[in-house]
Amino acid sequence: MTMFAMLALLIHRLTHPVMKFLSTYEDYLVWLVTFLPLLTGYIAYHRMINPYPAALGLHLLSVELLLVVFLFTKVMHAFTLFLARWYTGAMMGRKGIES
Amino acid sequence: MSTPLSIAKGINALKEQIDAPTAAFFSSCVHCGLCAEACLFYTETGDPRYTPINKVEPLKRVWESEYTLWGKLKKMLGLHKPVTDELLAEWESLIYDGCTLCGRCSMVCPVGNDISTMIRKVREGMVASDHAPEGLVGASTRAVKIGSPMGVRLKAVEAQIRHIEADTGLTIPVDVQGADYMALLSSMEIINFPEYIESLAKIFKQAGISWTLSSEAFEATNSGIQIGSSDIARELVQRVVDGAEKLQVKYVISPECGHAYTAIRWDGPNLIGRSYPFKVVHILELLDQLRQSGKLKTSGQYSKRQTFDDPCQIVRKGGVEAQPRHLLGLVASNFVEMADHGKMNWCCGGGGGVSANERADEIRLTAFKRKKAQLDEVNVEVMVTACANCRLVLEEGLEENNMDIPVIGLSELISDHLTEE
Repeated sequence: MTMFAMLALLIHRLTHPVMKFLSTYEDYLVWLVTFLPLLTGYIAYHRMINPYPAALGLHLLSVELLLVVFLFTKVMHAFTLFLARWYTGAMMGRKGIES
Repeated sequence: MSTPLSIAKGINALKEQIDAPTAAFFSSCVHCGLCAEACLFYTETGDPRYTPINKVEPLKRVWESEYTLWGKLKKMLGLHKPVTDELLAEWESLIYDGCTLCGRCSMVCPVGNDISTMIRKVREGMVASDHAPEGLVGASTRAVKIGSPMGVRLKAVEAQIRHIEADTGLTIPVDVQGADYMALLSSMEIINFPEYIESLAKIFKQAGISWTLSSEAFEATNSGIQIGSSDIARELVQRVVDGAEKLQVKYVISPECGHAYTAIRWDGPNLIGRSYPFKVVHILELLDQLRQSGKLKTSGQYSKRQTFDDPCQIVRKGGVEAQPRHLLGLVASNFVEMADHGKMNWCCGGGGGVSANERADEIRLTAFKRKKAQLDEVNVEVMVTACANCRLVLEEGLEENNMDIPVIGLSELISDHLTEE
């Protein structure tokens, strides 16, 4: 299900004129490294590749890849979002604008 | 047009504009494209280049190559995309002709990026690298040298004052030491809509307000904010502050002009680096205070079907949203709201210096289709607004589309319905 949703998002990004125009290689890279653990996990769980340890290995490798990429890309914003929201809110509040 | 030196100056100016929030904004953007749908220049042209976040590309390139790890590595290897004269020349039209700094994009950004402030920052780089449009360069030069972007001198103001005094028998006080309020005017009001000055005189007389104009600081318009030059903006704000301090007034009244309010109310103290010894109120805020304290007595209602066009800088960026509605409640019996009214209202298309930039005339009229669509839904006979620039831009757009809808200023509407004593 998650994979279908992600595929739909990718297709949207590839077809919508504004999104296609704005997207950078990082956006696609992030999509890929988020998608791979799901895909390899699905394959490993359903024993679709033999031998099983190889499938599991691929899965672990893809998760590790995600964790490495996490720190250096936009995915990090999943955590820093809260900080950013607080900051922007405080800035706007100081200007006296209703939030 | 530009020399290698001016390009270097431009890049440097952009570098100086990058602060912590800007860096955070760039690293937060997920390229979702939602800001495109919030921008009238995108919705009316369908051209993805007008996506608000794309307009800040020059600033983004400087941020990437100067402040990020990957960008620095790429720059060392010569793989980065530098800011070039061609880039700035191409972006000039996106930054100045295709953006009114209306701030609607900042409202919809899901990660909270203040895109319109970022575009304002790019303008600093454009000015430094000689890429600002002629119309705005002329206006800001006149503002600094003559004292008004439209070249209005004190004599012209005095002439209008004499006319009004002769017509109405009212007195327009000038340079009254120790008055409570000092009123500012925009050039457009002095030239095109002197009714505003007359309205102030009438309303203040009835309410018993002690007020004055200043012969040294009558101009509210701040071309420095529009062109994107903090140096010019600072000088123009300083003029008003000096004028108000000299007359020792308690309040300065920002007129029916959008970015004048942004300049004097919000950006001003930051520009001059200190707080004011007086308070700044927008005319609509003051009128609403008078209404609350019972000093604004009106009679009769304006029965034509009408709507209020919220000026971006006063409502979205300034927070003066409830006041015009309270005031209209006094005098308008047949008032309807447009869709997206209030803080999500669409810009008239001529703010942020676009109307002073002749090159942008065509795209401004294209962008006006958005306002036309809003108006077609409500089918009104009259429009009310509170910004002389919006008013002029609306009048032009309506005329171009053969729509017979007069546009009036809210202060004027109120003064027309004052109870005669």
